[in-house]
Amino acid sequence: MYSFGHSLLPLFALDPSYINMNHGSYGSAPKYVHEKLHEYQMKAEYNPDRWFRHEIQIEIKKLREKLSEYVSCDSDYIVILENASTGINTILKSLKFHFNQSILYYNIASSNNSKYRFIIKKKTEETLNKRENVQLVVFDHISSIPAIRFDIEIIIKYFRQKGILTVVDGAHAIGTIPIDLKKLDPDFYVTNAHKWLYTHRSACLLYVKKDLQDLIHPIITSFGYLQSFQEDFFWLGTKDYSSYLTISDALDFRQSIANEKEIYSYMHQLAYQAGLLMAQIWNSSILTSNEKYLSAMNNVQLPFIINTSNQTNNLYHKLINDYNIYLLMFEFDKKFYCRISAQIYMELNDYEKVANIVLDITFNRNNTRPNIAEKKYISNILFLSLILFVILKLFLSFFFSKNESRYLYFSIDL
Amino acid sequence: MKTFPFASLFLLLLSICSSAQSFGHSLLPLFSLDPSYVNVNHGSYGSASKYVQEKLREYQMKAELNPDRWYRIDVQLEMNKLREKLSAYVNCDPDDLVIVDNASAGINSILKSLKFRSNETILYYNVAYGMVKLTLQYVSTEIFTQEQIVQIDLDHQTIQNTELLLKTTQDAISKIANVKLIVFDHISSLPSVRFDVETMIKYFRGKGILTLVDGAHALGGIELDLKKLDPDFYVTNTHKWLYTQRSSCLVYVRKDLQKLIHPIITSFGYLQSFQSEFFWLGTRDYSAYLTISDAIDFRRTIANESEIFAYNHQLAIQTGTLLARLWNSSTLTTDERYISTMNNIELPAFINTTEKMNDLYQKLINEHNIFLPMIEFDKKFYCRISAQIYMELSDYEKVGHIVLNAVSTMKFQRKITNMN
Repeated sequence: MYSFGHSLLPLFALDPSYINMNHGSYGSAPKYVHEKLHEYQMKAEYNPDRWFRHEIQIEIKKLREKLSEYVSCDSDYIVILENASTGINTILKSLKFHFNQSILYYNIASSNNSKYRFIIKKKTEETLNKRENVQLVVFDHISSIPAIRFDIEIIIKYFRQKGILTVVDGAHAIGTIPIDLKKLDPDFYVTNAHKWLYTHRSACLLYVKKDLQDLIHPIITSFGYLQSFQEDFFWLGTKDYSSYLTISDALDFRQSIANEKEIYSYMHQLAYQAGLLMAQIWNSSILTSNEKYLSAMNNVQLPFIINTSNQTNNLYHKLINDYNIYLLMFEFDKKFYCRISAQIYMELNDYEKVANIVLDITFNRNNTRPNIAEKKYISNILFLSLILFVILKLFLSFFFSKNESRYLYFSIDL
Repeated sequence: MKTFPFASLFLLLLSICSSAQSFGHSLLPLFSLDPSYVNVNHGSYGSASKYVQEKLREYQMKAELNPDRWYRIDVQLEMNKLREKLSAYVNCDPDDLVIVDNASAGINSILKSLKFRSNETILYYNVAYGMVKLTLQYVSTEIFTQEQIVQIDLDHQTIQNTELLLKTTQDAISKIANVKLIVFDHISSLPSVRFDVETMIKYFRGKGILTLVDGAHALGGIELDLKKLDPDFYVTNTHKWLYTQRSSCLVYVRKDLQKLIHPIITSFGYLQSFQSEFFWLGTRDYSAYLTISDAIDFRRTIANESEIFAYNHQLAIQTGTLLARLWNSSTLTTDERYISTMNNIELPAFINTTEKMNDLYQKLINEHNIFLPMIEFDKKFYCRISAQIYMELSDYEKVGHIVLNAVSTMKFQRKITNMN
C-alpha cells in the first residue's frame, strides 16, 4: 500500500521539477503501464500476423470484460476507441437527423452555484418549450472549462421521460469518480481512459444502449460493416492496439496503490482544499464550494487585478516560459478563473507554491526564482565526442579500407 | 532532455560495424521478429526496425515528461518538420499532405467528405481492397440513397495490360452517365499487382473524373513521385513498407480540392485551414507518426532508396519463378512492370476449391507458424508472398517445400476419408 502525495511521483515519468497542475488535459501513464505497453508492442513485432489476426481479438475481449465490470455494464455494450473526440463524432455522425429535428447542447449558462440544478432545469424547459422535435441532447458528466460535475442521473431521467436521447460526454469521468452505467442508464456514454485512469494515450470507452446499437457505426467503415455492433467497431484498419490494452494494466496499477474509493476521495479532497487555499492566498473565490459539483478539478478565481483577457494571456505565458507551469485559464460569466487538477502524486503545498508564484508575477514580487531548464552538459560533451569519432572513422576508412566503402549518411538528433 | 542519445549511438555503431550493408538475413537483427518466424507476409502489417522503436520510446518519454508542453507546443513543431521531410521524400508540397492513422482512415476521410449527388457514380475495380468496397457500400446506402457504385471486373488479361484495362474501363464508362470519381490501387492487395497509375490518372483527368489512388502498399516499396503522378487524392500507409511504427498514413489532396475534404473526426481545426483541420483530432499518441522521419533515416543507413526498391523487387520476381517451378504452376504475371515487392503464385494444382484453400491456409498457420495469404482470382487460386530486405530466396524455398508437404498430407487425408 502506498500513501498518496510526492512519494508516488517516482512511479510516473513526469519531469520531477515540473509541477503538474493540469493532469486533466492529457493524463499521465505510470512507468508500470509503459512497461506493459512495450510488452504488447514487442508481441506485435514478434509475429505481426499472429498478433493482428488472432491474439488481438482475444485480448480486446478480455479487456472489455474487465472494463465493463469496472463501469457496471454488459461487456457487449462497450467498445474501445481512440479518444472522446472519436466517440462523440461516432455517435453524432451515425444518427440520421431529419431537417426539422434539433440537437441540444449546453453552453454552461448558469453561474449561480447553489442553484445549478434548478436553473439548468428551468432553462432547459424554456428551450424545450420553444423548440419542437428535439431528438438528442449532449451534456457533460464533468465539464472541461469550467470543471463542474453534474448530477447526470437526474438529468438522464428527465430527458428520458421526454423521449430525448442522451449523449453524455464523460471525458473526465473514468478514474476520478465512480461510474455505474447500469444505474445512470444513459443512451450513449463516452469517457477517456487516458485522462484519469493512468492508461497510455490514448484510449476511450464508448457505451451504447443495446436497442440503439443498430444505429451506430464507426466513423471508419471496415471489415465489420453490416455485422454485429462489436464486429463493426473492432477492426478499423491496422493500428497499434497496445494503448487500449493498457487499460487493464492501469486498473491493476491503481489496485496496487489503493482501492478506488480511496483514490477518488484523495483527489476530491485535494481539489477542494487546494481550491480553498488558493482562493485564500489570492483573496478571491472558487466557482463553487458545493462539493457535489466538484470532481478532481477545481476552478479558482484569479487575483482580482487580473481582469482582462490580455492580462490572463500574459500571466499564462509567463508561467510557461519562466516557471514551466501550465495553468489553464478561462473567462466564465465575466470572471477570470484558472482550473487546477488534483492527482495522487500531488500535495497541497504544490498548489500553495503555484499560488505564490502567481502573486509574484502579478505583483512583481521576487520571492520565487524562475525555474529555467538546466543545460545538459553531459549529453553535449558526448555528442561532440560522437562527432569526432565519426570524423575519425570516415578519415580512416577513406585512407585504409581495401574495398570501396560506401559513404554513410546518417543524422543524429538530440 | 535527460535521456542519453542511445538511439543515435546505436545508429552510429550500426554504420561503423558494416561499411556496406548487405541485404538478407544479416539484417534480421535490426528488426524484432521472432527469429524462428519466416515472415513471408511483410505486406500485411509491416515491421518497425529496433532503431525506430527506440525513437518511439523517446517521443513517448518526452510526452510523459511534460504533457502540456508536448501537446501544446512541441508536437506541432515536430509534425511540421515531419511533413517537410516526408513531402521531400514523395515530391510534393508539404502543405498538400496530412498524416492520419491508416489507409482506412484516409480512404474514409475522402469518400465521406465528398458530397455526391443522386445521379453521380463512383467506379472501382474488383481487385479493390475489402475495406474500400465496404466504405463505398456504406457511402452509397447510408449517406446518399441514390448514388451508384459500379464495379469494373478485371481478369488475367486486363490486370496486366494497361491498354486493355483502360479499354475495359472505357466500355464501362460509356454505359454510365456522370462518373464523378474512380478509386483504384497503385499496388493492389490481393492479388498484388502494380498498376501504371500515371497513365491511368492522365486518362481519367482527360475525362474529368476525380482519381482516388489507394497506394497503401506503395510508400517504401516503390518510387513515389506525387508531382509526376499528379493524382487528385492519394493515400499510402507508412507502416507497411517504410519500417515506421504502426500506424500512420500519408494523405495527399490536390490543392484545389482541399476545401472539400474534412477529417472523419471534427475537432478544433474545423472551418480553418486544411492543415489545421487534420492536425488535431483529439488527444492521441503522435509518436508513431513521428517515427516516419526516423524510418527514412534508418533506410539511409542500409542503402539508398533505389537499392532497397531493387532488392525487394528482384527477390519478389525470383521467388515467383522459384515457387512456380517448385509447385509446377505459374505466377499471375511475368511482366516485371506489374510486379512490385510482392508476387502471386498459383498454388499446387490440388488446391482447386475455396474450401481446400482455406484448409491449407489454416494448416500452415497451426502446424508451421506460416502466414501465407491466399486468394481466388479469375478462377485460379493464388498465394501472395512479400519480399523484404531481411529475407532471402532460401526462405521462400523453405516455405515452398512446406506447402508441398502440407498439400501432400491433405491429399493423403482426403484419400483416407474417401476410403472410409
